[in-house]
Amino acid sequence: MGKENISTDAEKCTGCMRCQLICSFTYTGAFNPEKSCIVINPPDEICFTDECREGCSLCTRHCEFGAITRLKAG
Amino acid sequence: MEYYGYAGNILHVDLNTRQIRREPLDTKVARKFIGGPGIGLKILIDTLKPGIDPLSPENVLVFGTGPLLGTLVPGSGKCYLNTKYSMPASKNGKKYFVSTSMFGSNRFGVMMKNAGYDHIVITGCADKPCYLKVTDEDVEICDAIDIWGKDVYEVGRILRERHRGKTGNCGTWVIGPAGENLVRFSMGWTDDWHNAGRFAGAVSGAKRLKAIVTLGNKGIKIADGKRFTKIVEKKRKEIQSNPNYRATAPLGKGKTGTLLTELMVGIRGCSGGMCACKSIHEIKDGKYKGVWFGGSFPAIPSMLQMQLQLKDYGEAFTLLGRMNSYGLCVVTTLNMMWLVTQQYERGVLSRDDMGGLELKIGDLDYYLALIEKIVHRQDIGAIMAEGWYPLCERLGIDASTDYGTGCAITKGIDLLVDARIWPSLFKQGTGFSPCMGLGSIVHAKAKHTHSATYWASNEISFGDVKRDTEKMGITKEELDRIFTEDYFDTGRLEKYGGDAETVYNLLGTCDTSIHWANDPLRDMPWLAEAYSAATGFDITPRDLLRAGERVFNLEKLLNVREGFNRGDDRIPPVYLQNIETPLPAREGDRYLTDWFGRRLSREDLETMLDTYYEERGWDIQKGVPTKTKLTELELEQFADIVESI
Repeated sequence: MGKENISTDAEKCTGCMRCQLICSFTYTGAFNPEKSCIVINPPDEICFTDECREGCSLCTRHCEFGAITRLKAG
Repeated sequence: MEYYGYAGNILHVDLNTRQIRREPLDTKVARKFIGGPGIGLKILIDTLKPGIDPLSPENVLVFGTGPLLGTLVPGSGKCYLNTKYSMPASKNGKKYFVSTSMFGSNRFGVMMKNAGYDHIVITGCADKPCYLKVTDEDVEICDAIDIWGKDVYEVGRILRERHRGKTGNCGTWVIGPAGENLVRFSMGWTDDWHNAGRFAGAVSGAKRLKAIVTLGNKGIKIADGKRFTKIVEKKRKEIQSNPNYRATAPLGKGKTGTLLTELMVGIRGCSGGMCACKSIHEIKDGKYKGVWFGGSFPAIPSMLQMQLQLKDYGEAFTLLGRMNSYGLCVVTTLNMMWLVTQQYERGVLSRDDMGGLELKIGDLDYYLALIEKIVHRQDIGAIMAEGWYPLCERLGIDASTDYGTGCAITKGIDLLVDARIWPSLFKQGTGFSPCMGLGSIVHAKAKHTHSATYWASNEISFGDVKRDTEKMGITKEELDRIFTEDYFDTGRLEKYGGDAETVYNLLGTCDTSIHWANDPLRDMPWLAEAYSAATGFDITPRDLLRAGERVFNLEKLLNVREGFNRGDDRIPPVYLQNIETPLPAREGDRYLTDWFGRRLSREDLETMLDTYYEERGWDIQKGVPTKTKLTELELEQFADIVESI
């Protein structure tokens, strides 16, 4: 699924998994991409699982390549 | 026991008996050898029988990760492969080096640790083609009949579809038809974009092991999460604010760089990476529309085009794509094809030798046909597939002397870049790589330009070299031995550069990105703190550097046991000659120089070697560790190896 406050561009994804790493470490206490709330399959897909926290945009802060960015309010 | 940073297990797979065994990681071994090639080489020195044929079932393949791999430490996506490599390193074909390949990964390493394993040790030989599936639920030796013979990209795609994870792909390491057919300069591929294991593809092929798949969700735990997060975040910001930081690899300057930029359709990096050094380029129109090339060394198409006199990048991408998909080392294939073509032109090789192939320099179809002969071991290709020494024996050329292509060979392998040219491509007169030429001579396997030697890709000042050296964690006495007010001793600097670079590999952090993008990571105190926070095993910067030195010596011991000594650290004769090639960037004289631009004679290089061995505390005449040094490094149990020579 998509997120209202986040824009994704799978073509820019390098497969670094920093989004999945910060997500899983923050919410499970371990670096565990399979338990993160982001699905990545560059260059075709970046989406979020149903468990993704509303309002959390930690992944956008750790993406260095513009593949996941936070949308400005308004 | 709870493990932090580490997954906590070593997986042993015997393909002869199909026995699979899980062994808990010995924390004493982990503390002493840290991880990655440290633990990999320790396994090899304990299990590898000296003198065995690298393509025999007795050879051992060790895939490894480091304790920081799979975390948010910038550039923590590096994996390792330790084995006895398949390229003959001596004229009689009796000597082969034991060493480390380091390679990037997206999912392979992270999923290996999440499946519960820091290292995978593979011995024996399967009775039919197989691949290894490693997950947190089970480990299985799977039938690979349906994927045997397929190229690296297709196999990767099939396996990812077959073993897809919940949030993305599984990790994959695969070999192509070149590895299956035991071409000695074949290699593996990881997660589609990362060359993995130059000269190891045939070792896997000999075991009938086509691939390894990794997937799991055990999680990598951190001992002190708060401290770890704080220091990693601080370093991330330091990198971002560094003027040298760039998120993608430099594509080069001038016409080539512009063209590659125009053709770029994507970038790829490693797990945890803040910079992505792999780029994908595609021809946009004309006869070769849609032909693409992806990899980490954008200068390769340009090298191919110029050396083989191809018409354009469309042809270069086509040739490169074929080499990659077969799982061939592009550089060795290129050098070898050019040598054979040259010898064919000179009449040393006949048309019969070439299997009826008509000589057509610059013709794409001719080169593609030659690649088929190598991969399928036909005619001259069967001899090429055996490596430099057998080929040169057939041609009546000494493999370690110049044959006119400007290719330097040491320990039976061609260097990925020529130390005479590389620095001058970027800075006239002096180089940015103070020790590269020496590093490629003294290492067990002449690695990349940047691996296991101090290397900087930006134009750096004398002050920068000194600052970088200080950040390796060395003492003032050591620093004073290397530097005077306006000069440094290359031999002595190389010793510490080699140890520091080994540390990056032990941890699972990328040494490549450090050089051209993440310079702030060249920071031994920070690395020691990150390791301590991640694993709960406190270590000082000095002890971490000492661990790097210990593992460097361990690798040397493995090779001394195989019969290597100073005589093998031979200066490639071509390094003493001017290089004459038509590349614009190489115009004018190109002799090997030191960092200060001073041309080096054989005597200068021998003196450099003397000071290198002296700084290492090794026997200068033999070029091997002394018992005193081994005792100092707590490796005294292996002293008999050096005492017996």
